[in-house]
Order: sequence, then C-alpha cells, then structure tokens
Amino acid sequence: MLKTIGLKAIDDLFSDVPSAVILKNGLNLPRGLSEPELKRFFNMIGKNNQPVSDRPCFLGAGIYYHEVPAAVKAVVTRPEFLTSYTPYQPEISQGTLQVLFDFQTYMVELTGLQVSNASLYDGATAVAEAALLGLRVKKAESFVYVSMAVNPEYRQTTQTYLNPQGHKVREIGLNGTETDLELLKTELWPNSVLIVQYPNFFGTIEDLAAISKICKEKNSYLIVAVTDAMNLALLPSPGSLGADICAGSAQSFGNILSFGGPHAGFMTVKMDDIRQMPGRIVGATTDRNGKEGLVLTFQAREQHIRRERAASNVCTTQSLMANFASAWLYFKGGRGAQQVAKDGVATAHAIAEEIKKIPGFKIESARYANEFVVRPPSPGFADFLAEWGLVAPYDLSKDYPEFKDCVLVACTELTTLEDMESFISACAEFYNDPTAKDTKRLIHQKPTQLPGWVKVRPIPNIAEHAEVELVRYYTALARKNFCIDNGFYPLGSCTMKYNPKVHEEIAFADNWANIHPAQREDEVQGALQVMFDLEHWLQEITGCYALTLQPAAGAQGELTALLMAKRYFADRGEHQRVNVIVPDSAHGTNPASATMAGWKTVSIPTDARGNMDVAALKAKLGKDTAVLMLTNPSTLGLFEEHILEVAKLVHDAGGLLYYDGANMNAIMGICRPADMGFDLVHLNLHKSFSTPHGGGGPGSGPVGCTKVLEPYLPEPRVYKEGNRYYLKSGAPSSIGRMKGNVGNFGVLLRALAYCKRNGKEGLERVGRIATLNANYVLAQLKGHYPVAFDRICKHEFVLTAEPLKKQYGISALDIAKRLIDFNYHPPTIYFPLVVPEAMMVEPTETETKQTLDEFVAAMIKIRKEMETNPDVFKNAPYDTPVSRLDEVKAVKEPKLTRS
Amino acid sequence: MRKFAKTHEWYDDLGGGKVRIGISKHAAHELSDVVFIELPDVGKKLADRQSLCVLESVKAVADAYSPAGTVVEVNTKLKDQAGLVNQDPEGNGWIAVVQLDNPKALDDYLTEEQYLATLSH
Repeated sequence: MLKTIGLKAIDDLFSDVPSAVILKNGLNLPRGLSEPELKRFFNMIGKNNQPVSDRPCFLGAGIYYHEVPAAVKAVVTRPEFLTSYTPYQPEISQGTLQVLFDFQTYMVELTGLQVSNASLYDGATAVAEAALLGLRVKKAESFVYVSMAVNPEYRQTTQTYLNPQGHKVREIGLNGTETDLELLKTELWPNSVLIVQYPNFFGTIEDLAAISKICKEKNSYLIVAVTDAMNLALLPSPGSLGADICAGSAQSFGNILSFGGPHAGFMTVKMDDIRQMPGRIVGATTDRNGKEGLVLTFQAREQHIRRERAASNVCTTQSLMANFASAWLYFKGGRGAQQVAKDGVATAHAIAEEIKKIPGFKIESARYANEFVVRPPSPGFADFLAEWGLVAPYDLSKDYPEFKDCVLVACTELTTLEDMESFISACAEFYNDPTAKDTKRLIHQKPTQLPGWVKVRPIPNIAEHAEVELVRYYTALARKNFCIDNGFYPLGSCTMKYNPKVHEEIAFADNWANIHPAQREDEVQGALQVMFDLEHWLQEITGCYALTLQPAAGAQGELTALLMAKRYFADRGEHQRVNVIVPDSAHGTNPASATMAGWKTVSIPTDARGNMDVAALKAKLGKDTAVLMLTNPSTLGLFEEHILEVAKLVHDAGGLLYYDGANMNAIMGICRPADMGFDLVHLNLHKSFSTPHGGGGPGSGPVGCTKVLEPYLPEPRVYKEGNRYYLKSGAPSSIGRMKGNVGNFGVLLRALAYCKRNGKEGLERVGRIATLNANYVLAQLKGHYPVAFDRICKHEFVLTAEPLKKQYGISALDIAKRLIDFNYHPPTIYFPLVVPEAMMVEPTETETKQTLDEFVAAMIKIRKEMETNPDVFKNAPYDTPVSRLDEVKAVKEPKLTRS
Repeated sequence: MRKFAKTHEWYDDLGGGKVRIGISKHAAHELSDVVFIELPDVGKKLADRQSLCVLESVKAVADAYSPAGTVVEVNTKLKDQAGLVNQDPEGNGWIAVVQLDNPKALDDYLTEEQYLATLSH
C-alpha cells in the first residue's frame, strides 16, 4: 500500500506534523486485552453494581424502571438499525426513517400537539431547548419562569442553556407539592415563558387547565415537561389542556436505565411553530415514480446548515433510543401503554393508603399519579430502606429543604405484590410497630383501581401488535437500511468504523443495563469506575489535564467548551472577548455553537495548500478574540501545518484554542491536541471510539481541558478516594449541568471497552492505519477524479466533481447516488463548503485492503460511465426501496405523521 | 435606477428614500427551490448591511441584506408562495420596502452591469 502511495514508511504519512508534538514513546497506556479478558474485566467490576432488577425498586425521580420486552431489544439492536448512519441518503435508510416517523406519530398522539421531532438528546435538554423556542416565538427578551416542581436536573440544564444568551430564569414556588397558582398569577410577567411538569417531580398531576388559563391571560407560552411519558397514555394530554409545547423524556418506552443514558428526549409543538423546532424531522413525500417514501425534512432549521444563524444546539438525534420507544409502542399499543400507566398509579395509591395507616408517616403529595412523597416520623428513613434491601426511593433532602428526610416513592407495572408488602413492612419496622409487620393482612392482591378523581383520557390511537408482527415489521424495515454490517461507508468526517460485537454484549448485561443513576453510590461503584477509568484513558489520548464525560454529543461538547471559556473570561473581567474564530472549512456546528454561547463568529479563509490562512488570522486576532475553534486535521483532511504558530498567535492575543475532535481518528496515538496547544478539546465517542451510530444517535462528546480551565467543567464530576468512587457538585466556577444525569453512560461503557480492548498498541495503530487507508485510496483515485488539495492527506480527503459537472453534467450528488448501486454508502457530499461539488472520502482503519480495492474499482468504473453512459446517472440509484425523493414537496406539503 | 449588491440583492429606488428589495436571478437560481422566507416585521429597524430576512431552500439558508433603514412594507404573498422568489426574483418575488436612513446609501452600490461582471469571475 505504501508503494502505491509512493512512500517508504507509515510514519512518512505524518511528515506534516511538527516533530515537537509527535509522541516519541507513544501513549502511556496498558496493553490491550483479549476479548475473554475484556469480558472478565467488565464482569468483575460489574459486580460492584447492584442492578435494580432483582430487588424491589421504588426509585424514579425522572428515570423509571419499566419493562423492556426481549422482542423490542432484539429488533432494535439489529445491526441495520444499530450500525447505520443518520438517514441522509433516504434511498437506503427507509427503515430508520420509518421508525422515526412512527415515533413522531406516537408522540403527537400522546401529547395532543401537532408536530413532533425525531427525538432530542434527553429530557433535560429537550426542556431547555423548549425554553429557547418559547423565547423566540414570544420574541421575549426577559424571563423564563420554571416551577419548583419541575425536575431539578431539568431546571439546572435550562439555566445553563439560557444564561449565555442573557435570559433570566425565575422560579415559581410550591403550594404543598404543586405549583403555587396564586403566586403564578402575581409573578408571571406578560409575554413570557412558563415551564411546569406533568405529573410534576413529586408525582402530583398539575392542574394544567388552570395554569394554561393563567398563561393565556398573560399572553405567555406554556411548556409542559414530562419525565414518565407512560402517564401520557393515561392522563388527558397536555395539548388538550392548553400546552404550547410538550417536551421531556421518552425513556419509559423501552429505554433501558443504563445509569441514566442514553435516553430519548422528545418535543412536540403546534404546526405554527414548526420552523422554530430543534432537531430532525421526518416527512413523507413521493419519489420519481410516484412511490411514497420518507425523508429528513425542514432541514434548513438544523444548526449545521444555519451555522451562525442557529437557534439550537441539536445536531444529532437519539435515533436508536427513539427507535426503542417506537418499537415498544408498536408492540404494546395505546391500550398496553394505558394499562402499564394505570398499574403504576393504582399501585402507588394502594401503597400510600397503607403507609398512611402507620403512625407517624404522612403522604405529602396531593393528586399524584405513580410517584408520591412520604414524610417519615424521623430522619434516616432512606438509609433504612436501603439496608432493608430495597432500591431506596429518592431522598428529597438535598433538593428541597422543606422536604428534608422525605422520600419520593415511584411505582411502575414492575412493582410486584411482594415489593409492596416489603415496602410497607419496612415502614412498619422503621416505626417499630410489631402489629403492622403482618403485611399479608394489608394488601391481598395487586391493585387495579384508580382513585375516583383521576381523569382518564381516551385510549391513545396506537395499534398494538403481536410479537411476531413486531418482529416481521422490523425485519422488513431492516432490509431497507444500509449499515456498516452490510457495506462500506466512506463517509467523510463521520468515521464510520466497525462496531465490535462484544461491546453490545457487555452493555446489555444486567449489571450494566439495569442500574439507576440515582442509586446510592455504594450500589453503583462499577459504573463510577467506568467513568473514572475512561476519563483517565481519554486524558492520556488527548493530553488534557481534566475531562468531563457529560456532553451528549459532539455539538454539545462544543457548546460545553465555549461556555467554559466564556465563564473563564468573565472571571478575568474580559467581557470584551466576544469573537469566535473559525476557518471557512469548519463544521457548521462550530459557528452554531458560538451563537448558542452568545458570541460572534469570524471566518478565516483557507490558503492554497489547504491550511488556515495565517496572515488572515493575524489580522483578526485582538482583544476581542475569545476562542479559535479548529478541526485538526481540518475538514479537508489536511493537517494544519502551522498549528504551533497558530497556537502561539492565539495565546499571545489572550485567546483560547478549542480542538474540534471530529477528526481525532487521524492522529490518535501519533500526537495529542493538548501538546499542540489546545486548551479545550472535544471527542466524538461515536466516531473515534467506535460506539454505534444507531441511525443518528446516541453520540457522546466528552470535553477535556487544561488545569486552568478545570474549575469550569460541568458537574457532577467523578472522583476517587481510596477504593471508593463518588460524584460531586458545587464548584463555584462550574458552568453547571449540560444534560440530565452523568452523560450517555451506555456510550461511555462501550468506549471504555474499545480503549481497553485496543490498549496502547491498538490505539497507536488507529491513526496510522486510518491515514494509510485514506492515502491508498487517494493515490488510486486522483488520476480519475480531481482532488481539491493534492498533498498527503490524513484520515480523509476531498475530491471535487466541479470539472466533471461542467464536462458531463454529472454532479457530486449524481456520483453519490450511483455509488449506492455498487452497494456503497456515498461519501459526504457538498461539504466542506469551500470546495465546490465536494466529495469527502474517509475509509477508516477497520476496512481491509480488499474492500478498499473494490471501492476504488467501483469509483473508476463510475468515472468511465460518465463517458460511455452518462444517462445512467440521472435515475440512479436503481434497485433501492425508493428512488430519489421529492424533497421540495416534503417541505411544501408537510406530512409528518402517519395518517 | 436599479442597483445591486455583491451579496446578490437588487434595490429599486422608489423615491423619497424608499427602496424595494429582492434577490437577483443569479441568487435565486443558486438557492434553487426557496421554500420559506422568514419575513421581517413592518417597523423593524435595520443596521447597515444587516440581514433583512433569511431565505430557506431545501438544504440551505441565505440572508438578504439591506442598507440601514426601517422596514415599511413586506411582500406578504411570500408567506404562502415563497416560490415567487424563484419564478420572478426581480419582479413579483420582491421581499420588502425599506425607508433608508440615508437616502443616498444606494450610491455606493453596483449597477446591473457592474454586478453581472462580478459573477463572471
């Protein structure tokens, strides 16, 4: 392969990397483990987790232990869904598009609003995004009001999102366990935005009709947050009660606990607000033959296209998690969902009735659904329940002084009669009432009765299906999807490497899948160790001093880093630093993140060799420079040869350097961002660390930083003392919380498995082989296709179809579509924007020489077709479930749910 | 006389410091199917060369810019028929009328001939 490229040694591929930053002794990491050793490691530390699945679980508080049927897991984790990319190529993605379309349909039906997106990072960020949406619609400069009865993590995340743009969050206090409506009437400023939760954090079913009336009187916008979406199948829908937006978590539908993530967030709005909606939307349209098909639509809203005009931080969806929700609802239907919700509520009320009878205990929640607050006769109740052997309910002491020592008890359909008896016995024991111990006396059968005052909605219009129907439906859809397991993805900037099977086996083991993020620290030591260890690996790989694993995706990593930088400059009194500098080849998310951080974007041109123009940079640097955001290698696949000079220039001007980790795969094990002078670094675990793309999420975007910036990292953070791991928050300079829980734990777990399996030698080969593969393909294609910049590339390269378009009328899009006929996923096209008719090819290190040779042969054959049979391009691809779809129609005649 | 900007807008002087604004045929062609336009509100104040509105095609967005002034009229037909911008960009597809802060602001802009010359580069 080197001979084809014309070089002698692999390391010659890195001659453009300054020798000062080349790792002389490689990474200081342990050797790789064999697959059995890897499994043994995770089995061993998995024992330090106590899953909720074999004990009575009364823990909820935002994440709920519901049934995930085996069939749901089996169909959704098919490789066609697990290992496929975001469905940008609809001809080979109808499977993913259909399940997301179903998800939209179900969420519209459950929430009573008109348009759903195809999912968001999680519940907390969905509500934060909803608040921003509300402010845009109201054109309100001022306040977002949040009820104190909204999940504390949702409130904290909203605060983090709103602060940088200068918006203020005001809290509305409680009347018992519900939002104080009298207070709301007096406090709510006209033309503002209000967030309440339904049922709220304490389980209380807020009087949405009354709240909505107050909002209407004040011409204000009502956002209804939801954590246990199962209740939407039972209670009157937020839309029917006057909500303008419904946003929250769809975790209850088939998303495993996984220590708090990844879980699907959702948002539904009214049709009038569709253009303000963040996230991806799937719509129905027709193809060239009039056949119905689905496409991603209203894409002009999305931040990577809007760039500095962006209004949201969402790039990826949580496609796979939305898919779990979709499969769950397809299987159980509206009737099944209502029954599950009813079970939880009936169980909660039956337990509460018995607890009330035990002297000293008080039920604090009014009009509650499946969660309620218990005030015990004396302190220490939560600890006692844990010792009793239960997964203890959530202790409210830390969030609400008025509920000191109180616990929040959650029930679901999985709460058994024995669990109920156990809980009541524990209460009796805590009070030390010997007569109350005979619990068999108390509850004889699993309760089914709802309290008389509960208003029940009509059964949601979602058809239920037999297991075999679910399996066949998904099997048919899977056949319509392209995925890594059935073909090569030379998809530039997306690093579609192979996803090892052993990662999935580990992640779905009970000790990892069924742990709740609010469990006591001693019950989740294994999970905390995974986070602690992964931080260590990523610090060594990037050279960073400290790191957070919290960001849900690359784009959120960018925002996290910029918010840290903003806080840093504020602490130094340098408020005049408002400019974020990006090269013109930057990912659209860079300027979008700058806007979300409340900053301005300054663009720098690319020079003739494909580097950022240093002279132009010098001219733009000054006292107003905040951060230079750089992808290195750049999106042109080229190493920034002047990186050390650039870093010095930016630092001398008082600015910070941010490393966009999109292209980390090229340099992994060869050099490190921190050694090049970067102060902030993000990584995409779903790219460089081989966690599955899931058809467009979940991702994960850890952010590393220098020692100086460590105090600004989001919280909570994980620490180790002796042999004990623990989480801690409360650093005065922290930017706060970016999302719910600790991050997308399931993704972190797979990434650690990847690191440990590869070890030092494996990780040091990643960048070398990825770069070798790219140059091998480039060397063979450059005689046939014009190259944007003809020099040794890194892990990817950019071709331009501009001359071919002029000569043959065949565009990058046409070539991309023709490749599908050869069973290849098309390269990234029309990006970077600085190259006309761009085609960006990234082969990754996991492809064999044979695969690369076959791809080259296909590309050359396609090139010859331009001369011999140019008409063949017009209607390509041919043997796909649909042909090219009418995307204009999808926007002009929106059809965003099943009819 | 009709003036043009390098950023592909045209400006018709309506007299009294008012200008009608739209995008050039070239820009409309490059954007391909315009599906939505975020029209400004009447009364909106614009700083010099600030975005007047955002035009969306299926997979791209672009701004139309204006000299400093106040929006006095918008082409409400575009709300439902954004496609007018493609069909008749330099006529019925006009976007808005702006009362200029400086009535002579258009002096700095290009003639049609000069504008067309910038495209051939």
